Amino acid sequence: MSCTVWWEGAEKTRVLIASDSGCGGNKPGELLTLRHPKSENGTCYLFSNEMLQEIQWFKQSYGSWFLGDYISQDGSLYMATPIDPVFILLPIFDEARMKKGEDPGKFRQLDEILFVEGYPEYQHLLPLAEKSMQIVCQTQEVGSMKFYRLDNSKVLAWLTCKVSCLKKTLPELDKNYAAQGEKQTLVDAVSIVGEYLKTEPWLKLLYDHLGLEFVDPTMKETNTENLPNANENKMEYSNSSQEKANKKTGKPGKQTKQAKVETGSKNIRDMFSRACKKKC
Amino acid sequence: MLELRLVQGSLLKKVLESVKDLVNDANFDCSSTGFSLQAMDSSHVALVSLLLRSEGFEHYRCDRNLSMGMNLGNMSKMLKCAGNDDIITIKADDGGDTVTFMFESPTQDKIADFEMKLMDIDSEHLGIPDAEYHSIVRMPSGEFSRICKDLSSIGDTVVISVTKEGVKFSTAGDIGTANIVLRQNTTVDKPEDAIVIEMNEPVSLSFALRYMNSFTKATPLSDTVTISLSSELPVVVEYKVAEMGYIRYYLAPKIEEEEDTNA
Repeated sequence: MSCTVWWEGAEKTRVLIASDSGCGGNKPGELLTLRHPKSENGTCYLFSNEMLQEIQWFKQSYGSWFLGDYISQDGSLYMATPIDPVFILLPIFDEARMKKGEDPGKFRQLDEILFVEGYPEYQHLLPLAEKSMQIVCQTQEVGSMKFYRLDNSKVLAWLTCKVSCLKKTLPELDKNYAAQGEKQTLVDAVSIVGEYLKTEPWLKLLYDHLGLEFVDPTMKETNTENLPNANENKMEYSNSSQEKANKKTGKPGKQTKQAKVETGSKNIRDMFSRACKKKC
Repeated sequence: MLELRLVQGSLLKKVLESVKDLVNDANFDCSSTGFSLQAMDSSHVALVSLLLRSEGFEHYRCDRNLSMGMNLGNMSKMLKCAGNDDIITIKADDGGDTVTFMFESPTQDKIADFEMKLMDIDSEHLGIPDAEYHSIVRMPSGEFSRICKDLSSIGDTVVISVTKEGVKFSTAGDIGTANIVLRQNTTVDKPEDAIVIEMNEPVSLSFALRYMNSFTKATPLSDTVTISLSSELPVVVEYKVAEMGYIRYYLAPKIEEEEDTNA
C-alpha cells in the first residue's frame, strides 16, 4: 500500500483483500451488483482485469482499522476471491434458453442473454461470458453472429469436474478432512459446490448423477464437529478451493467410480501352467 | 442320457449362489465320478473348481461323459424357483441342446420343471498340481466371511501371513490400517468352531479382497473353510459340500511391488 495521502477526499473507507492478479494496472476494477446464483439476492462482485471475484465480509463486533496514519472506523474486512463466472451466469443462461419440459430451448445471442431485468451490470460481463460459457453451451454461428444455448449434459459434466477437483483438494487442506472417508469427502465437496447452485434443477440433478441421496444443505449446517469456527473455516475452504478449481475448467471431468478391473494380481492360468511344468 | 437326482436340493441352490457372481458361463462336466465344474473368472485371476460326487446323489445316471455349457446367472434364476426342501433332478439327452431342472416338493404334491438352453463354451481345463502347502488354516466359515467383509471397508488388498504365532489378516487404505490375528484354538465345544493352523513353513501373500468376498458366498454350504497357502501357488479356499464334494476357489496373489501394502 502506498503511503501518500490516499484517504483524502474519501467519504468512507473499507479494507478489501483481493488476489494480486485481479488488481493493479490502471483500472481499479468495478464493483458490480449481480444476482447471487442460489439466493437470487443482489450481491456485490468485483470485476477487475477480466477476472470475476466474489466478496466475503467479516466483521467483529467492535473494531477499527489502523491503516498507516489513518483510522478506518468501519472495522469490517472484505475478501475478494476468484469465482468461476459459469456459476454466476448459469441461472441467467438457464432462463434465456426458455426450456420447457423435454424441449431443449432456444439459441440466443449473448447481449440478449445478459439483459437481466433490474441488473444492468451483467452487460459488463460480455467478454467474460463469451470466453467461459462455451464449456456448458451448445453454440451456433450464423455469419458473424454467435448463438448460445445451455446444455444440461455439459453442465453436469462441468459440475462433476468441479466436485472431483474439490474432492481431491479438501484432504490436502486440513487433517480433519484428510481423516474422513472418501464418501464423506465427496458429500462435502458436493455441499460446497451446492452453495452456488439452485436446488432445482442443478443441485438435485448433480446428486442424482453422482448417485447420492439429496440432503437439504440448510439442514447440514449443524454438522460442525469436524471444524471449529465452522463458518469462518468453511468460507476459507470454499474460497481457496474455488481458486484451485477455477484453474481446471478445461478438464473433461468424469466421475471415476466405475467397476474396478483387477489389474494388480497375477494370472492364475500362468501360475498353474508354470507349476505343472515344474512337476510334470 | 443324463439323470441326476439330488434329495438335498438346497445344496445345488447354494452352490449356484456361490459361483454365479464369479463366473458368468461355464461347462458342467458329468462323468461317472460326478458332476463337476472348473472355470476361471473373466479376469483370469480366480478359478473355481466344484465337485459333487456321484455317490451323493440318490440316483445318478450318466451314460456317457457330457459337457453342458450353461449361463450361471440363468441357471441360478431357475434354481431360485426351487424350494429349500425340494428334491432337484437334472436331466439332459445325449446330443441335445437343452437341460431340464425338475423340482419336487418333499410331500410330492408339487412338481415343477424348468428347461434351459445350453451354450457352446470353449473351455480349457487347467491342470491343478497336487501340492504340499506351506500352511493350512481351518476356521469357522462365518468368521472368515466376517474378516473379509470388515477388512474390505478399510482396504482393497489383504495380506495373509502365517507364522508360529498364528494367522494374520492385514489391510491398509485411505483412512488407516487393520490387522486381525487368529491363534490356534482346538479347545472348543463344537469342532466346527475350532481354529486349526498347520504351518510347515511360514508364508505371507497378498490378495485382492473383492475376490475373497466373492468366495465367501459359499459360506452357507459349510461351517468351516480351509485356506491353504504356498509361496509360489495360488491360495486355495475350500468349502466342503455336505459329504458329497467340495467347492474350491483358487486365487492368484497380487504382483509384488515395493511395499504395495503400505499404500
